[in-house]
Amino acid sequence: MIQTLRFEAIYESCYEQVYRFSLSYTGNPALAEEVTQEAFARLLQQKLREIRKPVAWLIRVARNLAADALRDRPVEGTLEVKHSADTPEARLVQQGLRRDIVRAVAGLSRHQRDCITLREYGGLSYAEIGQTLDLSLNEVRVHLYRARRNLQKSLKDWL
Amino acid sequence: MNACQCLPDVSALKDGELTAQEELRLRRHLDGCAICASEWRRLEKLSALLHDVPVDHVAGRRIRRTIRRDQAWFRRPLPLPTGIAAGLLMALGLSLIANLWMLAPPGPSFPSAAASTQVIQMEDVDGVAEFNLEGLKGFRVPDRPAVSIIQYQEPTPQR
Repeated sequence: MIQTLRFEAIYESCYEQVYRFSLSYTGNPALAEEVTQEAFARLLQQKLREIRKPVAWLIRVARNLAADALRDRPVEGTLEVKHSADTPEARLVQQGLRRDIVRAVAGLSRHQRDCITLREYGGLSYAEIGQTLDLSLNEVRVHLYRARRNLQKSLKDWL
Repeated sequence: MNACQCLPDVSALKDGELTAQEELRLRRHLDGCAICASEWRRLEKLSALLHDVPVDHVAGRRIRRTIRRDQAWFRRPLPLPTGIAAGLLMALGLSLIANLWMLAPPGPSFPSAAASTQVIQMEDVDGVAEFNLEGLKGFRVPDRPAVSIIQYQEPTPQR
């Protein structure tokens, strides 16, 4: 019972982050949903009390699942999900922006993409990213800096 | 191209990954360096832009429903008749294994104690008494009462 309540609380607080991470990583809403569901299903099999930072745990699992899923197929970049914009023009703008974001993220090198998504959507610290990707703190720092530089170039029209 | 050697540090400052001393030094630098100050603003915008990736709340509800259903299936109590049947089946299986184990034929055995009391003929070979009796080969070291068996062969049945 306590495990269920704890899980519900974690789901409530972490769903958006995990989904956003999965979506930006895969660029495919269906795959993002699949990855998010599997990550939470795996969390349920753990002793939740022993997981100190559930969001970091979930993002790490989601990243591994997404990387496995993408091994055979490239990032798509369709991102046709529910719109929150009111007018058709605003929807088009939002859709264009989202498509460009996913393309820009997909255009990064693997380490840069891993680092930026784990940092921006997962909120993982440099140490946690390094642990997840088996990189040193300095490597994480450099990959993040380069990822941001490249994203700035790709998304310059939006900045 | 705008360049300042502190640019990678601006990225780390954005992530809160600098030590207190480094942060203080960089914040002072930001006040006087237009390139880094501009980089800081662009990083703020980029971060906001990346977080514009939409979250599908319908998918969220779907995932939660699926996980709840799976959880309920695994945690459901067994109906009483099924539980009793499972218990009986387990007891039956255990008793069958025990019976089979007790009825198993005994493994091969060495000649009985009665056979060992037979008087056997020893031959003197280089000062060591040797014997060969119905497949039982051995020797006896002088001044020692015990006989050592060095080879045993099942006697071949006589026609």
